[in-house]
Amino acid sequence: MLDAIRMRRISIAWVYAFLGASLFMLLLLSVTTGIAPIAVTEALQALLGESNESASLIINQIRLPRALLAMSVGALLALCGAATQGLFRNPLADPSLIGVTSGASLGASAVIVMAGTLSVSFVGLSLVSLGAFAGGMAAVCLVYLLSNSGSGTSVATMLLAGIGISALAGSGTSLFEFYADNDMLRRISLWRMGGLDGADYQRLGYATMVLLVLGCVFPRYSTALNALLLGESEARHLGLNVKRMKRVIIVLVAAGMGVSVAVSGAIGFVGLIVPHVMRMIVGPDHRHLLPLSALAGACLLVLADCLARLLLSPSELPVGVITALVGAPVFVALLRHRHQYGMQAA
Amino acid sequence: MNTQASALSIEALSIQLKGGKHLLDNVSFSLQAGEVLAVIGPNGAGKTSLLKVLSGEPVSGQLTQEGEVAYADRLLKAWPQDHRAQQLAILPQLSLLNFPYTVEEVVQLGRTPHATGKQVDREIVTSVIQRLDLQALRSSLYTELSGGEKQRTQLARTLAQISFPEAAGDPAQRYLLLDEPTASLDLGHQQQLMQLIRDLAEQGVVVVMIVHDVNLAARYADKLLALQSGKVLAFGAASEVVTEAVMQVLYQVDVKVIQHPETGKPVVLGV
Repeated sequence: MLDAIRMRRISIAWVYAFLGASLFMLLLLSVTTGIAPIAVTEALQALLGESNESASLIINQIRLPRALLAMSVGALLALCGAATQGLFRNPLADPSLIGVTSGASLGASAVIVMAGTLSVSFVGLSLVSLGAFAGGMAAVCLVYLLSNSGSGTSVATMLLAGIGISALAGSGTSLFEFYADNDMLRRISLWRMGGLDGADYQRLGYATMVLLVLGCVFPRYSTALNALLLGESEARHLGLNVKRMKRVIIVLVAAGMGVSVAVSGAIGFVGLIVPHVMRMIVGPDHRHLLPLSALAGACLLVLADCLARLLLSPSELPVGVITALVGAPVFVALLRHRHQYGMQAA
Repeated sequence: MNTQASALSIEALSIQLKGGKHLLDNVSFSLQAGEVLAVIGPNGAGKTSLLKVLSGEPVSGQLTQEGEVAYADRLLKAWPQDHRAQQLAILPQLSLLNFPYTVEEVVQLGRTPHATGKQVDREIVTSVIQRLDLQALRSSLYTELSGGEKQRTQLARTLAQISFPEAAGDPAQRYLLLDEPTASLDLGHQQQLMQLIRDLAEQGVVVVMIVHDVNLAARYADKLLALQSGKVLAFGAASEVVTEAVMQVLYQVDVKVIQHPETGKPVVLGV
């Protein structure tokens, strides 16, 4: 296995096929398992609209949107991660580097503490989700403005600005936590762990829409990202408009991360680990890395959500706990062998 | 193509830094198609800045830039980046590539500005890899190469960028800018690289390279440019530039210059 990975030329088609099949199986697993197990044949009938009322209701109204939301969010997170690692030319970069996640935490905790009892919703999203989205976007805008100068965006400055703004947002969050009562504290920390329990078709719609946009635009930039790995001036010498490319990627990553935190809270690790692992398997060529990361991210989050629902059934674990629990050991194991894939410590 | 008109001309180029210091001061020279220019000079003389200006990159901390750079009859600033990339390739001094591409993939990236199709690209990549003696490393990971091997891989990438399919006939004027291409190469590969540069010049490519080894420059370049504190100290053929007087002023050392018994080119001997 390791030798095969080292040669990196295990046919890429097989990786697509394997991940595609896994995703289908995991989605099926996700709709059939739960507090009320439903047989696979019955589930398929329900999906086709030919089943009895209760099974149909459980599957079509609860489990299917949730499974599909897990799939979309997982794909979004991994896609954003792959693009961020390419943009920062660092295989260990994380999409939260640009400040989205910590800004979203601040937004969410502000809403929980200041308007915790209001259960207003707007365009199908709760106030907390909207707060998270607004906070995330505000943080990205700040980071982006700070890293912009007359000569363009400096990704090195962006990294530092991201750390600064994240620290600032983090202390803001702590301040809200200080004034929060016990119930609010619990809600804040649960939000931070991420969860898909609020899944419905509206949220699924938002996530899918953004995923479609990213899925259409990112592939146009895959050869440009490939060249960008050589360095920014090298990419310019290869005729690329690096300035515009950076702007497009940052906006798309911000949108992708923003919508994921709004619909499912802060789910960590997927954006860091999935593209990293896929790069070890298929190499750094973004033409394959981007779609394969999306597929693998979708698989990981659907799997993690199944585990989150099943492990302590009938209660639920936050899915963010599971992604790290599943992902971290794999990641650490791969890091220990990183020399075998030619991956240098960044 | 009119060979009389210069393929590259620099006219009264000056760059002033924010502190008032001149990085380049009234630099002018011109090159014909197929000429190889070696830029020599001590550290901090402005060699890399000159190369940056030629490649259209901003010099960090620059306040003003005066003068004109023209490729054939086209001003550099009027040459769109994507078109320029098809004819002008640059090898930077140091490349930080931290991702495990194979050697072949890195060379392949040189074809990014061209839309010549997979078949042509593959042929060009194969031939460039062969010319730079990289066949054995073809599927090795870039991150695991030695410094010299990385250098050769990056060179192969820039060569692939300005190579053209054999069937295409007479190509447009091409340019190659190299910042210390021989820095981490062993003696054998240095010679091989210089021979390669001569071959390219035969095909009409204009080469501008920064070289620290004055003897190597004198042996292989058509013209030498000695830069000192941003000013042109001497410009011309090796016999005019590589003299005891110029070396004394340029490097502040006493040297002896003799004539190579076979090539007739000047050779600097340390004393």
